[in-house]
Amino acid sequence: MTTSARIDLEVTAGPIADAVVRRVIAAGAAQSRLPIDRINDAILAIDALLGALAAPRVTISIVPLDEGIDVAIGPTDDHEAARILGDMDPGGVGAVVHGLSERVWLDGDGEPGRRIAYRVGRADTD
Amino acid sequence: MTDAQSIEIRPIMDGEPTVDLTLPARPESLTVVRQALSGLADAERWTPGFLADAKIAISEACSNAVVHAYPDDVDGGLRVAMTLVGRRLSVTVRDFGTGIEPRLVDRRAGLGLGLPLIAALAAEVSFRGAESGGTEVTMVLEIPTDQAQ
Repeated sequence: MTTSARIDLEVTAGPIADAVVRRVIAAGAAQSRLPIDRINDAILAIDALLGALAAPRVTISIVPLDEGIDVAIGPTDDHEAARILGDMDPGGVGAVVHGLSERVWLDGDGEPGRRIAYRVGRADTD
Repeated sequence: MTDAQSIEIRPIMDGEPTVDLTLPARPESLTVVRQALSGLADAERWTPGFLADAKIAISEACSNAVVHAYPDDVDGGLRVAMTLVGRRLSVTVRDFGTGIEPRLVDRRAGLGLGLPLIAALAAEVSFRGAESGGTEVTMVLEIPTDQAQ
């Protein structure tokens, strides 16, 4: 992981975050040369998470990689993250994030500084 | 159901940036900054003309940091904080490099338009050397009240 390429964004939650985050994710993902459908998947995942987090101000980090991007969003805590990622009903946030990502994990050292992280890479081709 | 008591809800302070970006001082970061600005424009329904002016001014400040703030062998950082207060957009572009003297005409930048361009587009602009090193450029742009598209 090339941490020197990392993009950190802090933004007020709500309509501004919705509009800004999608564009910043897309711009960051473009640096990793992800195909457009996978960029859209990364945006769909962050859209789902933005709608689920309770914090009035969110922090997001994006790390472009050779094989995709890592995205992390917070702040959250273990309880909220478990609730969000455990929502595996069809269309649920957990189902969306897990379905679109290669990997999902919790980032951060402890409450309340936890972040939900996911990796979107190139889709396997047959 | 959200257990709000287990989450620290930090109140939004006066003056806290609406959008706060920290990213590498590299040419590709300008695209990220411009996309963040476009997102803000979408949410706030700015006119295309104002967005274009804002992009030019902010890109110029960021370009200065990318090109001049660090030696070639140093991978430095760039911070862009955008704050909306009423009909004004305040933007601070900060680098953490060795500190450059903002010159009104920097011929290394090409046409030498550089900083005068920012001054022409912004209602207010200021430059200062940051205490911890680097340079901070702050500009205030007045958002037009006519939002008709």
